[in-house]
Amino acid sequence: MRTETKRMIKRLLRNPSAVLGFSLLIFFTVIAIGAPLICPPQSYDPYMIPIVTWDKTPQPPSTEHPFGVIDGRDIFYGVIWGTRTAFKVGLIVTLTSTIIGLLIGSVAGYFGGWLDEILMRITDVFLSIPYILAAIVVTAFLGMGLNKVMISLIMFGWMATARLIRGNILQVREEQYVLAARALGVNDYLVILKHVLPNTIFPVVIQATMRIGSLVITAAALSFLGLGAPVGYADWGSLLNFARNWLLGASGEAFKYWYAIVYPGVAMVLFVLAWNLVGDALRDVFDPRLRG
Amino acid sequence: MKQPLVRIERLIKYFPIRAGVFKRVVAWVKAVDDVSFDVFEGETVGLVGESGCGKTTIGMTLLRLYEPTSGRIIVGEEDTTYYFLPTTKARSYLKRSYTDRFQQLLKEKGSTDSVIDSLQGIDRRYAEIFFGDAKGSASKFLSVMLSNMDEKRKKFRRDLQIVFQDPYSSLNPRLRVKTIVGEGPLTHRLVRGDKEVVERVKAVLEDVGISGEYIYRFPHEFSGGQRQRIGVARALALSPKLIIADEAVAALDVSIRSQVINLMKDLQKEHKLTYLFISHDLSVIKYVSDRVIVMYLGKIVESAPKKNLFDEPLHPYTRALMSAIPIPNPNIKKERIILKGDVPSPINPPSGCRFHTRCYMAVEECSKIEPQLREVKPDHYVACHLVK
Repeated sequence: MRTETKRMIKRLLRNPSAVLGFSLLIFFTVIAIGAPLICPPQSYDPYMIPIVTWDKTPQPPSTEHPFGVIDGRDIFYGVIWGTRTAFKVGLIVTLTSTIIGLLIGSVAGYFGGWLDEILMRITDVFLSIPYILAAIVVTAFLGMGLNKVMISLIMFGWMATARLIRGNILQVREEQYVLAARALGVNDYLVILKHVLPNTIFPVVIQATMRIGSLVITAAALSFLGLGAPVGYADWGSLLNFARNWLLGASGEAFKYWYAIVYPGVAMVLFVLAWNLVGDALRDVFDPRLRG
Repeated sequence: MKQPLVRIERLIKYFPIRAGVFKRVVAWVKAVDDVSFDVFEGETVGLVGESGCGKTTIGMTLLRLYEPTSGRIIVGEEDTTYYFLPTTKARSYLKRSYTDRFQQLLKEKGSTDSVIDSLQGIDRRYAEIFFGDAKGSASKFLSVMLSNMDEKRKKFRRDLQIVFQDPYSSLNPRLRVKTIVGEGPLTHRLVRGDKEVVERVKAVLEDVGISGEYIYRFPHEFSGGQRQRIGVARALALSPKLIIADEAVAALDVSIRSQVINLMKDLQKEHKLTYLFISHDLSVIKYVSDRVIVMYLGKIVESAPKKNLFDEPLHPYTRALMSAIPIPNPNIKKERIILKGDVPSPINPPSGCRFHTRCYMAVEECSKIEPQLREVKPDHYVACHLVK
């Protein structure tokens, strides 16, 4: 088994996009962990970006503020601490909604019958509501704040997983290798563990990984609309929200305030890219049929 | 008399059809309806019939991948019907089929010896246990019968194995050959530790003509024929007595098919295996079987040693099937019996003889009275009113 793991790592290292994905992810993780060292917090709540000036006009990058200043706040500080926010939103929302989806989907798939019917109709109802719109309404209803955003994203984020795992279980349950394992006398628990789960769970893991990235975008979109984190919170979406008023630049200088968008934007794009590449790499590792 | 390895008695398997929001049972598919036959040690029994006639269901029910609706499945000297039932159901099965019956017989006959004398085979054996060790107490008998269930189940699983039809879905795509073939021996503790697993798997793979070097490969790295051999190896790894080959060669192309069949024949000699060969392909059945059972719509219509059946088919359905076998000689003109229409639905099978709707010989009697399986010649059984 150890040689197998080694071989797997070797294969990953040969795949440039996987290497890029994992390095980006490690890079972001290091930044998130090292945030207090890179940007020592200056107030009791480290997630609130300290106000460095009362001048609302953006100020270009300088040695003191390497990414510039917007709305009186240091963009660098926001981007660095925003990494933590991104991880927090992405991981918590994905984990929770995936677990909810797994529970609902596998119950529906295993037991079938009327339980399946009811659970799937509920899923359909949730799916029929446009995601962003539902999230906006729920956030507006619950009130502002990052936690509320996360709750609304979880509430409307579990359906895809539920459907995926249900479909997979229905399919795998009837596969001949499952019957063969039962005929061999392997007990039900092991059949599920060895034959049903590995053929159902990995697509879910891959889908969840890829969703972490896109969730950050959704959360940022909500922040951009002013529904997410409170003003001044270290969050990429909030930084872009500040930049909204300066998007058009100054007269004759369209790109005068580029730094207000580029730095948080690049961070977000790279973060999403990292998770997508990692998701792809995981798919290659988990599905032996795709191995060369 | 020879002791059958497997005896199926009056096996019935109905599948419920559910409909509506609350999934009520609205009808039953009568997949297997009152089927009895024996499989003797060392022979190959061919089970043949059109698709949907219940052949596969018999195989699956025999292995208890489906629970039978009723009937008995005796393996060796044990009634195995209750092996995989939940305890309460197993108890009521044993009560119904043995203790209640024995007590009733005792009342009728008066003495335990005359009860035992009136019974045969497995019933006699169990009656001896009931009146002997259990001293006529139902609860004692049940506790004897329900003891060591784990061991009994394991032995059953070891003795009866299956090779599936589809070489693509019968092997878990995420496991290596070593894990697939080694799963059985590991589950049954026939081997311990990685080294012994590897040894065992290599040995079995070489038995089926696959190099032992391939044990770390995945199923998708093999061809259809090789995968089917791996399927055979998986069954063989437990050293079973009976292998059910459920359309085991139907999905392979013709050249590979004969390879796999010959392999299975060789293995039979080498390992003293018994086969229940399920197929819709008469030429395959003719090649492998010692005895052939022909099924139509959940019932046995004819059963005979291969030679008798192919030389002198008696049931009209069997004759129609035989006439459909292609002969690779264009000069021979053959009289074909062409059956009209489709197989009727097993939900509402025709009254009387189930074949009468398509039979070219049917008389009025056929639609009214159901023909029983009769021995018309030594070892040759037919269920037809017209065969004398």
